[in-house]
Amino acid sequence: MSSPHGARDALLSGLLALALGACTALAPAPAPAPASEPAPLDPTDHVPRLGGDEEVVAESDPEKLRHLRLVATNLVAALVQIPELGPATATLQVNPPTTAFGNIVVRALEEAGYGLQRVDSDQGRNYVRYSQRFAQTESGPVEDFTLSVGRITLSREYVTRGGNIYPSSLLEVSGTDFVTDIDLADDVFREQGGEANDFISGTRPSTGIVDDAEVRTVDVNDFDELPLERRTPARAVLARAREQRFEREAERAPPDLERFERYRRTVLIFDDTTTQFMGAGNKRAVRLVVRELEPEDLLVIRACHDADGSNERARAHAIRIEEELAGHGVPGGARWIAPCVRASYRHPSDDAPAPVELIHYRPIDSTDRAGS
Amino acid sequence: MRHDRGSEPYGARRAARSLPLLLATALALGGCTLGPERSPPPSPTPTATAPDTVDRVVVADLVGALAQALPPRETTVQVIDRDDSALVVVSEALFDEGFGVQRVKADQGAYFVDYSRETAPHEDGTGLGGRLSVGPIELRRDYLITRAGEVRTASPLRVSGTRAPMGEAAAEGVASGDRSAGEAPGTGVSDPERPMLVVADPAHRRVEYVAGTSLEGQRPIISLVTPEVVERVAQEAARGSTNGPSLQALNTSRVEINNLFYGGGSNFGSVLDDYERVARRIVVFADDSLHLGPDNKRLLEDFVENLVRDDDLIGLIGCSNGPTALEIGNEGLALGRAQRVTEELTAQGIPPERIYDEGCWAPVSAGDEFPGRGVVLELWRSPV
Repeated sequence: MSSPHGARDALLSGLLALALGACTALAPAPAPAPASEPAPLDPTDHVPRLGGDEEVVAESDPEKLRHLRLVATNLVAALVQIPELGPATATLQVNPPTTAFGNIVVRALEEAGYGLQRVDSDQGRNYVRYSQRFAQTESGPVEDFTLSVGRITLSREYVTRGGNIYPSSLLEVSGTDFVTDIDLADDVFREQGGEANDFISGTRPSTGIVDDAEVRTVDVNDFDELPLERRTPARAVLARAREQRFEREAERAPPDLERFERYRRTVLIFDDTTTQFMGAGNKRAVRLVVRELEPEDLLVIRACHDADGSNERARAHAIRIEEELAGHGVPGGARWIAPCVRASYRHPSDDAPAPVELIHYRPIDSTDRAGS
Repeated sequence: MRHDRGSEPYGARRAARSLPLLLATALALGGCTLGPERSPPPSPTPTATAPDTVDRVVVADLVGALAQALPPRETTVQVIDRDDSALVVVSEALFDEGFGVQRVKADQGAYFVDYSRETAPHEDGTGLGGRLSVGPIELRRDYLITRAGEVRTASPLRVSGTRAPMGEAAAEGVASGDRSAGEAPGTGVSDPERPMLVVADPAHRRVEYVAGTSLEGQRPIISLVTPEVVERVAQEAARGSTNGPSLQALNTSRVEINNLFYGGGSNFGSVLDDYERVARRIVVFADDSLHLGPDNKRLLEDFVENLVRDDDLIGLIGCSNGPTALEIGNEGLALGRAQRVTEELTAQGIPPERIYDEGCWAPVSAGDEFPGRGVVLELWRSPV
C-alpha cells in the first residue's frame, strides 16, 4: 500500500493533470503564437467577478496584462501558503480596484478561494493593499510589486526582458514567521522562455537574514518557451499552492491518540466515490460536531473505501471534510486525516454511497489518568 | 458564530421590525437599476420582464431579509463557482449587502449559498417560487409576475433555520423601494426593465417561521458495529442478556448516540453542562405509534411560542420501553418519535442545530426515569 503522503501526492498530481487537461481541452483551436505577439486573452479574465472595473482593464495593453497576471499569481500563490491567511478561513476586505494591477490582484485572490468583502475605506483586519512602483536601479529599470493583507506584506522586484517579465529579487515577507516554507510558483516565468534570463528564486524575511539553502537560481532557456495556450493557467497555480498548504499540515507528526478518548463518531455519507458535494445532511452533521468542539479536542477523519489498496478517492473525501472543518474555523491542530490502515475492497465501478468517519476525541482528564 | 437575539419569547417579538432591512432592500433595489450595462436588451414586447431582472427583484427581497438574520460584515458566504446568471445576481446582491463572498468548487463552507426559483403558469401572469438558502437558514417567498411586468408578492416570507426577527420589515423595505422610484406605494412600476416588488397584500408583510425544505431525507443505513460495540455486546452476552436492546444508534443528525436505557447520562452532557434546565414536558405517543396528533402539536406550539428564547437549546429523549409488535422495534420507535418531534419543532422555526435528540429504548420498562412511550422535551438556557 502506498503511504498516505504518496497517495495524496498522486491524487494531487492527478487532479492537476486533469485540470490542465481540461484547460487545454477547452482552449480554442491551437494556434501557437510567439510570446512577443499580443496575448489572446479575454480582458474579462483579469477582472474580479464582483466589483471589478472592466473598462480600465480593457484599455490596458494585453501584453502588460499578461505580465501583471504572472506577478499577481506569483504573489497570491505565496500568500495562500501563509497559515494565518488560509483561503478556507480568511475573509479579505477590498476596495473596488481602479487600476489594471488592482483588478488582476483581486481576481487572483478570488480565484485562490478567499472570501472577499467590499469596504469603502481601509476597514477590516485583513484589509488588502497593493502597489506597483517603477525604479531605476544600478541593474536597470525594475518594477517593485507589493501585496499586503493586514499586517502581512509580500514584496518582490520584477524586470522586463525581451517582452517577458521575470523576478529579479527574492520574495520579501514580513508580518509572519512562516517565511522559508513557502514554495514559490516561479516556474511559470520559465514557461515564457528567453535567452540568458536566469532569475533568483527564494524567500527572505524583512529582517534580511537569508538562508542560502533556500535560494536557488531558475534557468531559463529559449527551449523552455511554451505556446500561450499551453502555459499553466493562474487558476491551476493557485490551486496547487492551496494544496501545498494542506499537504504541509498533513505532514506534521500524528497526534498521540493515547492521550485522548473517543467521544463521539459521526458517519458522513457521500453519494458516490467521486463527488465532492457533501449534501445538506453531511453539512449539518459537521456543524453539530464543530459546535461541540472544545479547545483541546481533536477531530479525526478516516476515509477508506477504495479498491486494491488505492485510496485516492477516499482521500479526496477526507480532504474535502478537512476543508469543511477549516471553513467552520476548526484550527489545523484540531483536525487530522488518519491513514487508512485497511481499505475495503470495492470494485472500481462501484458507485455506492461512500462513508467517511469523523471521530471526535477528547483529552483524557489528567485526574482520571492518575487514578487508572 | 453566536448572536445575541435578546431574551424575550419569540411570540412576544413577532411584531418587532427593524429599519436596516428597509434601507438595505431599498438600496439593493436601487442598485438593481444602476447598471444599465448589465440590464438585458429592451424587450420586444412592453409587457415582458427578463428573467435576469426578475431575479434581481426576488434576490434583493430575500437577501435584504437575510441581512437581518446574519450580520453581513461578520459573515462570509460561499457561492459555487459556476456560470449561472441567477447565481451571478445572488453573488452581486450579497456582495453589495456587505457579505464576504467566497468562490467554491463544491458545497463547501458554513454558509454555502443555494438559490432556486420555479415558475408556473398563473391566470394573471407567471407564478414564481423563490428560495434562498445560506448555511442553515432558508428564505422562501412566492411571487407573481404580472403581464404588465410587475413583480408582486404572492405569499409572506417563509423562514427556516432561524428565529431572528425580520417580520414585516422585508415588505416595508420593498414598499419603500417603490416610493423611491417615484411611484405611489403599491401601484408597482410600469417600466418592464426596472420592475420593483409590489406588496400585493398586507398579510405578505408577515414572516412565517416554517420547516426548511431541505430537512434531511437522506439518512444513512449502515452498520455502526465497531470493535468497541462488539466488546460491549460480548460483555452483555457474558452476563446473560443476549437479547438486550442495541447499545448505540444514529440520531436525526446522524450522530452516534448511546442508548440511555443503559444509563450513563446524556450523550450531550458536555454541551448542556453550561446550561440550566428551565422547563420539562413529556410528549406522550399512542402505543406503537409515531403519530403526533393535534394535542401534542398544540403542546409543542405553546412550548415554542411561550418558552423558547433565542440561543436556548432543546433536548429530546425519544422513548420506547416495553413490548412492541412493530418491525422497527423499540429503537425505531424511540428515535422515530424523537425525529417526529424534531420535525415539528423545526417546522415552527427552531433551527435543527439547537435540538439535541437522543433515545431510550428497551423491551422492558425503564422505571420512573423515562416514559414508556413518549418524548421527554427539555429546555436548556444559558444562565448568563
